[in-house]
Amino acid sequence: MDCHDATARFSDLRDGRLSGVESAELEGHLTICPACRTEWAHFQETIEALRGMTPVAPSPGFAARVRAQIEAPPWHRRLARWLFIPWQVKVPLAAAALVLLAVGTVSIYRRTPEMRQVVERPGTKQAPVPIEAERRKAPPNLTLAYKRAPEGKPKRQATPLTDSLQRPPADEVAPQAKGRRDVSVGAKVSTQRPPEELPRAAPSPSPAGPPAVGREALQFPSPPAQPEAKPAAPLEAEETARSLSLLEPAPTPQPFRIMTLRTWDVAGAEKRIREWIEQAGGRLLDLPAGGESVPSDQRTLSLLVPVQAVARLDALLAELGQLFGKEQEVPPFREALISLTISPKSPSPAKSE
Amino acid sequence: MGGEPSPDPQAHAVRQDDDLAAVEKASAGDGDAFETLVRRYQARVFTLAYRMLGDRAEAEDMTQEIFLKAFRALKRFEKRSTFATWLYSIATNHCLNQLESRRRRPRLQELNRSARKDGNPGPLLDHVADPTAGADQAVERAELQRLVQEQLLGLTPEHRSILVLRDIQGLAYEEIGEILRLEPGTVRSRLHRARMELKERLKPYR
Repeated sequence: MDCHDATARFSDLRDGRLSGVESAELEGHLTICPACRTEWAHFQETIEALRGMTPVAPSPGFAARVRAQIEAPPWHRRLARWLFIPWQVKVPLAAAALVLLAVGTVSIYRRTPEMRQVVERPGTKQAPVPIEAERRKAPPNLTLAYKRAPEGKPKRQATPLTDSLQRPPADEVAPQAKGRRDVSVGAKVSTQRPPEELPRAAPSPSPAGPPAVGREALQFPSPPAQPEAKPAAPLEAEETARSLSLLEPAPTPQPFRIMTLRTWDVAGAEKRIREWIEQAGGRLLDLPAGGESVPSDQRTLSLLVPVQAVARLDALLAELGQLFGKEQEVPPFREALISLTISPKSPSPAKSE
Repeated sequence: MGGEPSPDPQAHAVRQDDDLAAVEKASAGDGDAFETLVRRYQARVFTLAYRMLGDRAEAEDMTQEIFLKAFRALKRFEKRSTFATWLYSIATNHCLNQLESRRRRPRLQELNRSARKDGNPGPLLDHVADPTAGADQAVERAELQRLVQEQLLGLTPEHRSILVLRDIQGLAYEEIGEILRLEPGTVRSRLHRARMELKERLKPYR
């Protein structure tokens, strides 16, 4: 037996797994080979050191903790236990939970125009979150923002946004928008450029007509005070509003449609509109005008119009004078919120048509 | 449980019967019976986990998980092996899995090791044990244990586990084969290689 064979059998010798002959042979080698003897001594020491390792115990209370864990009832048992709570306790609890849930849902629904859009016309419009995200990233330069807008923006199929993005008149819009930080309610339409003159890429598929409002001509009224009265603006108006308010820290939600009526008889027109809205099943909202003061010869009305009646309103207004903004798409809700500014057609009003 | 310090066969058989009775009750939902099993095996399972992982807190978490896992699997215990072997099998595999996941997060392992190398002897000194020994002997013994544990942790998990099972826990070759799912010849050769490697690692400290 050589040294290699000898060391290869250390474990077997240690554990008594060698035959008598093999053991005698190995032990014979160890008596004559000091090197293997030393190795064998180290080998034995190693195993003794391992065997001498003190047993260790987990911290006190370990078994009880494990037991507590295994005895924690599974979900179905907890549910079953709950089901057997006396009804005098359970019913009020359940009722309260239901009320809370309902209130929460309604409140979230009312405060989230995106959700309303999704709920009321699923699949046709995207929530305007990406626009918002992009707006935050965008530099405070309207021209740049417009030029960048189409890149990386999710393609919306035939939405007014797509339409508006394809329109080039950024340069025309920019100077006016740059100089104007306050986009506020009740502001009057100052310069008018007929929307028909605006370049338009594609007609909107919306039944309300293409949303080709003269953006550069509009100064948007600020938000109505009652949050429930201002659901999401159509993407067109929203995008325009956002573009115009790039310099502002946060955008203000816009009414659905902002129109201007230029007429010879502001008071008469207002009266006709008031009468009409009652017949049409709509109503006038009492929204305070914010921002700039409204000139005395102008009126600004906030109309909540049943969506089916919007076309009739357009027709009525067209009869009453020169109407701007009717091209804006009406969003897919039951009622459309329309901010209408009635302004005199000439410096000397009070002439009837 | 078998092993080198071969217990009295009669006592061994009684222990196995006790285990089986407790297992039956525990799998029927008897919490007392399971707690009895936990108390009976907690030190062995914890020692295995601690020697494999080298960290007391981690070992305790592992031990808890091992018992929970065993409890959930009790109904599948087929009594082909002893309860102890079955439990060791769960424990060893759990520790090997833990070492594997730790290998993928080497930073943590490094932190543990460097903490020990920074002169912090780790928890080994916590249980200096033998009150009859003199203070010097106790310190020496604790130092030796620290050294062995450190070198043990330097071995591969395969070598470490077989040394822990055989030389620390004292299991028989057959039981080790069952636990690690190895042929008897493989148990023998792997054990020998692991012992020789540890011997070489301890040589500089002799």
